[in-house]
Amino acid sequence: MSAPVPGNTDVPGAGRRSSNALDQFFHALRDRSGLRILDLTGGSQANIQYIAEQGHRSTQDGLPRALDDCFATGGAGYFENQSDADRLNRFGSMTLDHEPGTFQGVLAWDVLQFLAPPLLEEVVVQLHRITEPGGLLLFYFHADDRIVELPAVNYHIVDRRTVATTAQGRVRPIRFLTNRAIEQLFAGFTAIKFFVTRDHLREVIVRR
Amino acid sequence: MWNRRKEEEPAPRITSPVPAPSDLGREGIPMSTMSHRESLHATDTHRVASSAVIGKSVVIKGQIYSREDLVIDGEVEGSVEAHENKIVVGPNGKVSAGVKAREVVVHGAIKGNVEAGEKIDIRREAKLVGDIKTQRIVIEDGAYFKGSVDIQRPDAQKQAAAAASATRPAAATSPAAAAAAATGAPPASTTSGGIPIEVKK
Repeated sequence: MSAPVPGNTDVPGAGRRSSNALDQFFHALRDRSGLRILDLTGGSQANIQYIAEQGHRSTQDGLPRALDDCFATGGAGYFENQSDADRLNRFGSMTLDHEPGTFQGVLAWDVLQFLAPPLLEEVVVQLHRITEPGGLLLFYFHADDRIVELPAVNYHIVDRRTVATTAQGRVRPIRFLTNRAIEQLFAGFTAIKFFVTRDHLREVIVRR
Repeated sequence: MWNRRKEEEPAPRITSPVPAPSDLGREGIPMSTMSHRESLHATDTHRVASSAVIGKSVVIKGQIYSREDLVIDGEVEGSVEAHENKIVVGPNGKVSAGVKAREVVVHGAIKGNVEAGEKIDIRREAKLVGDIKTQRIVIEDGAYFKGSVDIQRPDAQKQAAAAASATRPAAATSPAAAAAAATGAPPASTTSGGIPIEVKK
């Protein structure tokens, strides 16, 4: 049984969607238990409960919150602030500071599309560092190159094929990444798999 | 305008006399310097009346053991334990400590590991950085939590408790324990497999 998903589902960014990548992610881990799964939502009761029901242990890390705290206000702009040394130091102290090879799975959701180079590449390097070889990472990328900003949402697992999103009341600028750019981003990983969806999200599973 | 300015002045400091040492020894002395009832969640207010309270201008460095419910709206650095009771970290509360309690409710900030025997409730404005061990967890959307979660099943806890009690059969039948049972007083010390176990009075 999954936890109730909080929040108002009538606001922009909120809703439910089917996720084949999520299904594949947990299907690939089905024969193992006691795995450590990193969830970058940073505090979803539904995700913690679902991961526990699968026999795994979840670790929450609020990377999106760290992004907003460190880069959203002041300075030259959201992406420009991501090159500011002081802000980057603060960001690094808030997130992804786990031991190498800690996790067998990472639910990264859509965080990468809110990052600009060189922070984008550095975050991918950190995800590679903290994931065990053979571990899986789940990502969402927006597929519409005309969209320049998106409501900030949290992702909550409803069941193995369904994800609910709750809006956080903020809007973040996004960077569009082509499939080729995504492949290049994960060039240091073992494998990458794209999932076709009916909406404007591309779902990606990457094997460390 | 002037009236408004006057309203914005800080409230005068409370100048209550320092309590005598004999008063400090008593349990359940509320340590409050604020009207915390207004700032806490409505569902917690009924607990406040029967809880010890660390007010928002109180800073404590050290170990806190509580045998009653505890509301922390100030700053605590060290460790906080209330194994059989509930700890509420108020909206102004900043706890840099390990926290152990039967139930934990977080409105403010905790930096440290939390063991909540029954339940932890992380509210919308809360910020918790640390690992959690509990049977049940409630996180309001918008709360910030960084750390791992170890959901402990009640059966596992019962088994652990049974295993722990199984390792102490000698203590229950020792002369000291028998004497204590007869007098109703705890023994000063007892043994388990030849290992002395201090029993704190």
